Amino acid sequence: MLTKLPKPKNFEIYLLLMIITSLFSVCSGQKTEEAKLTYAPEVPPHIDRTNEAKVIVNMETVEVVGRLSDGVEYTFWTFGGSVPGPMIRVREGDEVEFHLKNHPSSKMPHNIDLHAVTGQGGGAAASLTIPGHASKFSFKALNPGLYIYHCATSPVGMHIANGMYGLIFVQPKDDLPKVDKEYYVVQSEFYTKGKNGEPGLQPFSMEKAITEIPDYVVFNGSVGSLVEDRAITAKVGETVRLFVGNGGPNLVSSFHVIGEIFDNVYTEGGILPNQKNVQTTLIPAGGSAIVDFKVEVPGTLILVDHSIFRTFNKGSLGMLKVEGEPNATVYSGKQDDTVYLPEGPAIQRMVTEVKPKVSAKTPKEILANGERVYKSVCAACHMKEGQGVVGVFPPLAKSDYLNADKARAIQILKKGLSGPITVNGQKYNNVMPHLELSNEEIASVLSYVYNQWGNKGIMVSEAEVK
Amino acid sequence: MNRFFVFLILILTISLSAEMVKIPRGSLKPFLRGSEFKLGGQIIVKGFYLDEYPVTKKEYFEFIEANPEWKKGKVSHLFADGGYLGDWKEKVPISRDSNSPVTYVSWFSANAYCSWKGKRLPTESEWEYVASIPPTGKNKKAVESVILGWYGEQKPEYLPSVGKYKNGLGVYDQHGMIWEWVFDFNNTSVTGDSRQDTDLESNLFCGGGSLKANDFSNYASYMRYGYRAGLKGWYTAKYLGFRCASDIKIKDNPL
Repeated sequence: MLTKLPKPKNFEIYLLLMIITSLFSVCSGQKTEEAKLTYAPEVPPHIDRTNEAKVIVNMETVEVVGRLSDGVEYTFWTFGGSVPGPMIRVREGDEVEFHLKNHPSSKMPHNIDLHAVTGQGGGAAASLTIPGHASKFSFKALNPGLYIYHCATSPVGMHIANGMYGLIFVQPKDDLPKVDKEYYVVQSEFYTKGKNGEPGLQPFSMEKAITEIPDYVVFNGSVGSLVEDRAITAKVGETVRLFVGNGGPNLVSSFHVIGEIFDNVYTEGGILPNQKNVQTTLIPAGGSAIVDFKVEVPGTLILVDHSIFRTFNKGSLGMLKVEGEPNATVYSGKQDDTVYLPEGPAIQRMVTEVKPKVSAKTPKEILANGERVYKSVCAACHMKEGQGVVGVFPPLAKSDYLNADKARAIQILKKGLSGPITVNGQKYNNVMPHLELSNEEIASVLSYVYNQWGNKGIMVSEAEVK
Repeated sequence: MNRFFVFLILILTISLSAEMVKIPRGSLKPFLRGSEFKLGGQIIVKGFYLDEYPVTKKEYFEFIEANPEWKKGKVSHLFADGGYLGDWKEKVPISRDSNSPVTYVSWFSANAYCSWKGKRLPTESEWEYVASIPPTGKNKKAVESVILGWYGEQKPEYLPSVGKYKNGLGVYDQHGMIWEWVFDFNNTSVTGDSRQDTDLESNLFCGGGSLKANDFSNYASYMRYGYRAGLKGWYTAKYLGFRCASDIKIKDNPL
């Protein structure tokens, strides 16, 4: 059956109502609009209007299992199903009507504390919402700037650690200069029962969270969220603005972009470009910064937390890919690549600065001397327990290559080794330098190694080395 | 016909002989420091009886058969919100999880169920006291790990059957499966005179949480008290069920 058109009479009433409603909204001088929320790294569109408005924000809390790193999953508690939560953009002076909906499938109660709110708890107490319910509260965006929001339901730390944070930008009446590209980046850390890289669904570790030793430090919720085809992009000559937040819960960020200098930094998310030509800016936990810069040359710029072990060992690495024409004046790229060999093309000699002069006699003395040599000379590459580094430094522990041929082992220590070898089924192709050890030292360190870590337990005499 | 079929399934489902467990008189260190509880103070809990398991869907079905005013779709919105028995197919539970805890029930309906059984809802202190007893041979850390494990695990498609976790008194599943209604669920956030003590409601949020607790490491409890503070009597939720208590032992009527 076709839907009937409204009868003329009803239609007239409807029209009248429409007119009355629009008259009211004109009289009050305020427009109502729904905020367009965006997921990282996308930033909500610039607000072009010059009047204040009533802005409705609809946000949902959801608990989801998602990818933390390759092969590693985590039960995230989220705003909007993502970490960080959606980015909100309103204008200074706007009246924001906030609707927080807690998805019925949630286990936990949630709320929201927006640092952009002037009022108790940033809205937290007004928005405590159990699963399957929705709360509403309103606030006036009095202060322009970039603000973190997060869940503040007890235990606060756990809600934040599980992913409940995001950014709200209160666009100033006195607008920031226009840029070509804007991106949304939030750093945060995760604390898991298993150590970094341990596969499977990883439960939250309260102990690690309290001692503030995270297993993951990431941008936008997971390792690799901003790399390869997920990298943010720009073209040479464009200006780029990054809205950067730090959800914490614990660490402060030394935010840096490798290969770029921030033209302007709005420190701590305020609206004054109060510093120019900055390399690294500090972003406190529960804080933010706005940085902008013009990209001059093509290449891949790396976003990092310059507290650098986090970056290369725990995940806080993102990419900004810049396309366009090279500019050799600004940056030449590699101009030459020549061989530099101070000792010619043969195996290098590594000069040991202190030559131990200990004459070992008994097997016990020989092994003790060997241990000392091993720890000072060999352990740096072959590791303390002789386990080596897979693919780089062959293992000495339970090593088939070592145990197969004593004479060969002596020769390697006397002359060094280069070229491909296979140890315990793994291929290695590296250079072991000539170490300038005395015959006595070679004998004792080899004896030591042969008597360690499941090797065949033989002794090497000084006579054999000669 | 349909009803007969449902009954058949319910009868065939292995029935747990739910007993009430005798809870000896004891004391509980309150998690929150209210005005009436000093730090280090104790709440004395008198001896009582508590259901061994949370009320199951099967048991709840018996209740609504006998009390049709509590059927899905018939309950006044004053007593249960629109989510009431939201995971039931039509008017009956899904047979495969009939031994799972009933959830999507309001305080009013839980209260009515317990009254029908000649019982009552446990008070928050009673519930917390029993819940604080670790499994036999284990310490409080074990309790916390069950709770935190539940927070972090993948949500099951169906709630499991009751009987997963047993504490030292022989009471099952207070942790690791659902939240539970208590009689005075709002007592931590409501004061006798709100004009004098308007700040109390913020006990459980942000700063209040870290100022008022007796045990800052007990994250699991923060969440439970926070959850209760968010409740209204007519609310229902996916992971919210209940069990009953009594001052005297009540034998469950067999089906």
